Amino acid sequence: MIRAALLLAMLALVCVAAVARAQGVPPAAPDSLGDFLKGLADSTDASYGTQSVAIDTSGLDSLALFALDRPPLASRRNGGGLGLHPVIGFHRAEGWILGGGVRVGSRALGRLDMRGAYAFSSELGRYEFDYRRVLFESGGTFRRRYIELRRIADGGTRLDLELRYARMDLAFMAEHADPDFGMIGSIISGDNSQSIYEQRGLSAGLALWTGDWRFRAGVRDAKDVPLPRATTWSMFGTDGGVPLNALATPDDYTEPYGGIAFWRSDWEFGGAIDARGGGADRWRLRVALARATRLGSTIKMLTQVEAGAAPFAAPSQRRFEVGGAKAIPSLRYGVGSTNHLLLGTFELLDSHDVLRGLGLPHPEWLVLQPAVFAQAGTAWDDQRDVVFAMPPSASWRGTVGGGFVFRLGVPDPDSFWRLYMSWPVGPNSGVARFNFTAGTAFSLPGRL
Amino acid sequence: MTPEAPDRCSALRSPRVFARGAALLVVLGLAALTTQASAQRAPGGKSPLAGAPGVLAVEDTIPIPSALLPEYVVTAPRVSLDEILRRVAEGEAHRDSLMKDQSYTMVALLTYLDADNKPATGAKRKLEYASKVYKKQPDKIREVPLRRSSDFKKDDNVEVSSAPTMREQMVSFAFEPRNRSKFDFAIAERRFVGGHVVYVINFTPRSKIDPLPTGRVWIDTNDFVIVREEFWFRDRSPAPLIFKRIDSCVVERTKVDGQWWVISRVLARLQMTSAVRFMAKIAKEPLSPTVDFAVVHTDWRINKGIDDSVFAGAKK
Repeated sequence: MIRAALLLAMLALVCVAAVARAQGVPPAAPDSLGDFLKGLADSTDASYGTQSVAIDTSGLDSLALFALDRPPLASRRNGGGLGLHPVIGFHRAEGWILGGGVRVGSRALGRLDMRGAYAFSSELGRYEFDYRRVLFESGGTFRRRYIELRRIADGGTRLDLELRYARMDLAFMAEHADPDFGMIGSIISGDNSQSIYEQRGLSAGLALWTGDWRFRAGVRDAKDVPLPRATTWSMFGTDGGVPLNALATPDDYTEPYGGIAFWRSDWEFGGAIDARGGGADRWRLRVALARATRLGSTIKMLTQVEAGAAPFAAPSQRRFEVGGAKAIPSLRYGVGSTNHLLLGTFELLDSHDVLRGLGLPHPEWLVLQPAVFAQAGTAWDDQRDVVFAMPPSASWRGTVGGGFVFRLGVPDPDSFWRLYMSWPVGPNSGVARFNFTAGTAFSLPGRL
Repeated sequence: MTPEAPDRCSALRSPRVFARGAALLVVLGLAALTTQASAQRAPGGKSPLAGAPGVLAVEDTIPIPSALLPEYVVTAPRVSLDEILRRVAEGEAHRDSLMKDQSYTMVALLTYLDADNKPATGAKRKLEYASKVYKKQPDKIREVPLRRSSDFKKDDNVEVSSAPTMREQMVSFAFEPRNRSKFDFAIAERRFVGGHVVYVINFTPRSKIDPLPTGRVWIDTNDFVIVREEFWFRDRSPAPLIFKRIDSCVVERTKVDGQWWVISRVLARLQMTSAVRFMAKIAKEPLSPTVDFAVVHTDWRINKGIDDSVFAGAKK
């Protein structure tokens, strides 16, 4: 009886072990957590190979022992030094613009960017002195490029001083303009409708990033100068295809400017308010909101809303436009020039790789994601100098379209190239047009 | 069932005992399978914790045959996934808040090789860099280079540096309160290791649009600290122009002074695109199809006190 009981017990243990083994449970657990982790590390070593993980630590102990006796070294690239870069541009109001720039300074002393260039058709010199210095920083060290891309760490704060003296070109409705003022289109066909004007003057301001917020405020003393068309040259276009450059209202002013921006990464919601004064009819107020909404696991909807207001008699360079790739793409730049703006954009992005899905041969780096969009907006004049006004219902214009998005991933993961075909919807909404833009997912709030 | 079981059964002398043993075997097998099946159903069940989602661990404990032992009903609520995620975020934040200063020796390696869907060949060490790093709250840092050997023609193009923060976000990024909503989490495994309950938790981005990785972490529930992490971008690249894939990133942590979990090693294997290799070739700095990156932190000293003079003159 006892023997039978023992046998039964043995049988039970064997069977339990067999069932457990069949379930994939390792037969023997490591003695300690350290052994367990070492086992995982060993398997990692095996998968990477010794050539990638073998580290020669000989002599490091003695070197480290006297490390503090060595003088502190500057970072090899970012601690200081001289950075040279070329300046190249082309616009029908300037012709070819060639020059160079240099960046000097350090994080402790501040950095000075100096640029000089010459516009060969307008025969004008261009220069820019841009000084920035970190006045205060807590919660870490943040590179400006990253925090402008909405990446300041939780609890982090940075305050910058910004001084600028420049004689440079600015675009009308700069918030919708391409960073290079449509240089590629100007060179190839001359069919670029973005207009620019000259601004010469000094500005001084402070920029504060803290948590999800950015505050910017300063004073500007400047002179705005109109620029007529200076050249009709293009590589393949005709002289008649090069449009006139819209003329800015000559102006000389001193004004305060300021802005508040906000971004919550977990809500994927942000916004920006920018305002400027200048007295008389120079005030200008603009608001932009952006929100991403996940639709399933592969589609995301990007919604942006923009509104703006200025006085009825505001200078032309402070007025609002509704045309262009970032607003209503079927309309040309320059459409509007009114004192009120209301714009909404909706874009659906899909994660699938179109070329791979169609089985088309393509380089592995060319990942094109499909996208469709609908955009509607209006720019209208209200003869009262008010912020809030109702747009006339007949002034609405719209466009729909589709195309591809190419996520570059550089210089930041949120960088896109967009290739779109857009079609007008409703009256006075332009013509079918091909658009190419480079930028981030949310173009209207801009960089924080 | 293992091959040994029939041998054991044949050793039984009495046919009656053999029959009883066979019956018992069937009962045990059924009991074990039932236990396993009920354990597999558990993740879809409702959590006993109010307000917590009903995702529980898959049992890996050896099932106890109810035919031999009395049945005990466990009334204590088992920790839910949401509870784990919350406690990990708190555990990491607690760890960060207690660190006043730290120093360690860092060694970084960059290796070029060809390991794109095949065994690695042509491995060549391109950079080895070692430094001593001192950090002190709130944001003081001094990094003293100890050794550098490089095979790059223009050595300045490659820089290795440490951030002043003591937070190890590389380990906990998916668990940060701001990022949790961007990932789906699932308990993959639970293991008992030397008195520690270690959870393995998988995470995947909720939206394939977002340039976020897929991965898994090992969590020691004694401290609710991540002790190891693996993540990757295998099906889509965060920067398609540069990386074809990121096959693997491994972050290993070790315990220092019996108290502090710190990063001991980071490994990454990057598959580069033909576009970036072409550009590198034009720049006369050829790039291999695969790049391995390894960083090792040794000689950790935490909260031992570092004088402010150490940081005097250091570049921020």
